Amino acid sequence: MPPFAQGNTLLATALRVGLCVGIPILWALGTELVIALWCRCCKGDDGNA
Amino acid sequence: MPDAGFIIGMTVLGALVGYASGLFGVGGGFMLTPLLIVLYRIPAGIAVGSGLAQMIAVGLGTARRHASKGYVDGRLTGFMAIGTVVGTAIGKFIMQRLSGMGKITLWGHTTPLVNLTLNCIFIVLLVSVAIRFFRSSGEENEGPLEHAPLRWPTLLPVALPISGVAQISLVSLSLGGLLIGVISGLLGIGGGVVLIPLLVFGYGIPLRTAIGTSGMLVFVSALAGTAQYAADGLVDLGIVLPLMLGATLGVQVGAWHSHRLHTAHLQRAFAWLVLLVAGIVLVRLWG
Repeated sequence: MPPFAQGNTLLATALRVGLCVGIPILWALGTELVIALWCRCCKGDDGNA
Repeated sequence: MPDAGFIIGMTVLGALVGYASGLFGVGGGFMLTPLLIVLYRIPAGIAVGSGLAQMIAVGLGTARRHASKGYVDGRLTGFMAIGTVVGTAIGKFIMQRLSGMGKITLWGHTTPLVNLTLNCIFIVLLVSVAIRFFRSSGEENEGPLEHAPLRWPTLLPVALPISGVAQISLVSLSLGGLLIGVISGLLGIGGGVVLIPLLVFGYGIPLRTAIGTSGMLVFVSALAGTAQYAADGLVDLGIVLPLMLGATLGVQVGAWHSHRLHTAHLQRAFAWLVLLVAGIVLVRLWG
């Protein structure tokens, strides 16, 4: 395999891993943010029910 | 482009797994992987890889929910996490070495000998765990247990203030993490279903802290597993996204329910879940 093709393969793998790991983390953090904002709006400043 | 039925089905499946995860701190891979394979004919590698990817969101969500109530022990997670990640790699290596053991035919059905052996061990282990939980479900277990055979307090002791444990061996915690990792790598499960009994009965960690900490460890092992499967192109984001959507809702309900259940009821429910897993393993072995 020519060197540039190896580099492309490595980059593609790194991007794939980054997306597959990053999207679930961002999803979970985004959900937490929405819940925190929801709690603050609906249940007072301490965020507790 | 997947149809609406597929997306709705995946969302419902994700909600069920998320509920179990929020309630018990398990990853749910033991339920999700066979259901994806049996119900949707998804190849095993993609089912495991995609399941692990959604477990990142589920584990993080579970850990955050339990941490907000003070039920995640960060020191305990750190001491066990390294062993778990290393153990997973060892488990996969052992599995690859054992896979050349040949096959056995039972009642006209041919199965690899290694699968039969490992799954039989797993079933015996799960049934023993379920019996232990059923027997102790009448006891109060809000605080740390007095009798914890695996604490080994004289060997490199560390303190776990959040769990209320004054002295516990760092070696024992690392070996426990390694053991969970090896089981996880050998059997292709997240390991939470074995981890919680180890934390409660081996280390004497209170059940609610064990559940919260297990969620955090599930997040760590799912992160490591997803990276490996994604590098091989075995994670399908078209499956992961609807699973995460359902799981997000399920985790919140499960964790909310977990904080309101009596400990004895929680122990009994967990014992039933463990028996369900044993049943699933038995059915997979037969199929």
